[in-house]
Amino acid sequence: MNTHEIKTAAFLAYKSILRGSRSTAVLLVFIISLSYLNILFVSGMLFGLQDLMVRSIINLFSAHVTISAQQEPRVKAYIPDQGDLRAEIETIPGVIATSRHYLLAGSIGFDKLKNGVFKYISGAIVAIHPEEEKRVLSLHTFLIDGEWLEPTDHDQIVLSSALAGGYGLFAPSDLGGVRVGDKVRIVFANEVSRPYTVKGIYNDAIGLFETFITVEEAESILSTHNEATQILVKADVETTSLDTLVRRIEDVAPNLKIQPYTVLLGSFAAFLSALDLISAIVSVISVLVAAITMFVLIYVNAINKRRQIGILKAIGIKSGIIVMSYLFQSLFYSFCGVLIGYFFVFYVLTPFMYANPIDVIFGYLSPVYSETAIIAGIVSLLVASLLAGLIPAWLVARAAILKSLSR
Amino acid sequence: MINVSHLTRTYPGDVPIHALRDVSFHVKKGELVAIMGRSGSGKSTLLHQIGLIDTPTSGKILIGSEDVLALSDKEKTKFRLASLGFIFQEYALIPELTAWENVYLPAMAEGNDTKARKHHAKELLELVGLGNRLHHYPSELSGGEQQRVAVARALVNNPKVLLADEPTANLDSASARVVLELFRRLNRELNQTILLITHEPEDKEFVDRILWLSDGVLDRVENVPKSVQEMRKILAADGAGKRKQQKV
Ligand SMILES: Nc1ncnc2c1ncn2[C@@H]1O[C@H](COP(=O)(O)OP(=O)(O)OP(=O)(O)O)[C@@H](O)[C@H]1O
Ligand SMILES: [Mg+2]
Repeated sequence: MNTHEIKTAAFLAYKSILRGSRSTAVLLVFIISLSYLNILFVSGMLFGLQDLMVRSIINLFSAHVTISAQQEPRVKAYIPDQGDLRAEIETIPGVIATSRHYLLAGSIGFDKLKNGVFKYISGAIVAIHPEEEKRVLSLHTFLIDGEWLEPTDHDQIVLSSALAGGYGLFAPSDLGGVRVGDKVRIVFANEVSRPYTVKGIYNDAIGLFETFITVEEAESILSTHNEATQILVKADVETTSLDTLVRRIEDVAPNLKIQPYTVLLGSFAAFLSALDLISAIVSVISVLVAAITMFVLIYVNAINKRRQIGILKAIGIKSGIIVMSYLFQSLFYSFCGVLIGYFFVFYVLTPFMYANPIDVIFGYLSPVYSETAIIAGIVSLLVASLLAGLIPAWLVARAAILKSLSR
Repeated sequence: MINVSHLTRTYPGDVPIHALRDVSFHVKKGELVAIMGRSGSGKSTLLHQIGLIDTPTSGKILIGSEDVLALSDKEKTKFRLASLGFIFQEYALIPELTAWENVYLPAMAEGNDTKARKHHAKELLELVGLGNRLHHYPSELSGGEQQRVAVARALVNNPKVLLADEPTANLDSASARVVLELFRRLNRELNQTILLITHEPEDKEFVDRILWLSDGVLDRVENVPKSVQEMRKILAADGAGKRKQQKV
């Protein structure tokens, strides 16, 4: 192919686009823009879901780094001197705030009918400092009833709605309908048993099943002072990388177990990679559907022009020029389609989704686009349209001239 | 200009069809030759062999000094583009291109993408009497006009030979006459070698010689008598005279 042949092909393509069938052109562009929209939007939503899940794990569960008590050489129950340790951690650049937890096991009992018969359910009881907790996790924003704890609350708890029962949420078993103000009893693993008043109930659609008491209360139950089962660290991971952060914390707390949230994410890895797989499958199917539709449209078009192609060849136009002109046409149409799809996604659909995000209880779901998804979508559609244009044109153009000329 | 010797084309099959059998003839430069014969006698088949869009079973074809059957497929395509002008019975223009673009296309594909060639294409359209139809699309032209555009297109690369397969078969007699007179003028004024298939006995008067085919065999070669040719000249002069008179 030399320049004037490419020029001839481009000229034929240009005139065909200009004068050719409008309905075919519109259909081609529409199909391509729809599949690009499909690829972008589905992968964007799934990516948004992954992103939301990661953010939720950080905001509701583990913060960026979780520090636990010493494991080696001897397993210890608590982190000692948590106050000094946290003060030191908070001087590390990038660290925003820290909080401490005691994790207790116990059974919560409720005498619903006030006849002395308690129904007990065992569960995790997490002791928090209510004010510090607010700076690290955002559980307090999920209250659906009552109020969050005060640091000095001793005989009050915040309960999961799933455990309380009657909120229409699934739980293996529940207390049968505890409400704010009700009295419950907790029997801790060390056999301490105390009555509590329910101060608040949080929406447990997020699946924590935890009951919250204050750290002061926990220390009086466990007879500890200034210790913690775990310390959560919230950081600005935009400015300080997670790895750096973990290393700096290890320097400060050499004997403790330090886990970034990515380790905890591991247990969700299967789910996250399932989302990736779904996104990939949807994209491949979209590209295939677009490619096959384009192939059929272009093939029918080329078959209709069989005689014309025969005449072009008879007067000495190389079949390579004819094939290339089809290639140019399908590239042009897919370029238009991708452009329209892109604009629709980013200037119509996405602004709409951000204005009306989907409430998925643990957060609001909006699409998040990765550069890879955007480019991979464009490249795969362009390649698909290249093939969808090339193969039918080649099939028709390679036929013997006399066969093409006969009707 | 064209030298055909022992040309045979057999279509293979359960019953092989001998479309051409041992055909030999010679066409001189500047001749206007008609191929005639009954339907199915092998006229189109013969033209397709010379036009290099089919391959004969055996035989030899020289066009100019080129042994065209020895060319590769690629070279044949190139030869068609540069040295042959093909005119078909109908629907031979590219509908998305204007008359001018249709004529210009072969020049573009050959690489003579210069202003001069574009101008030449325009001149050819003027020559065939369509100087005022340059920017019309085929669908906006009559059958006769379309056929004249096809003639202009066939001429754009200055071919050695013009090949036409029943170019007037789909035209009314008036349009057919215009196209045939065009061929005669091209032949006389540009010394263009033309090989033309026709059905119509009255077309005889336009040509120098007639190759009569019958069942794939070249039956006889008829030289159109001088007297007819003389008459033709007088007719032409008369036509020219009439034009002059109109101008006065
Ligand atoms: N592709 C083919 N396969 C088999 N036989 C063919 C083929 N093309 C033509 N023939 C046969 O070859 C013979 C000559 O055909 P050709 O088209 O050359 O005739 P023609 O003189 O041009 O007729 P017409 O005046 O009707 O156009 C016919 O008997 C025809 O049936
Ligand atoms: Mg024929």
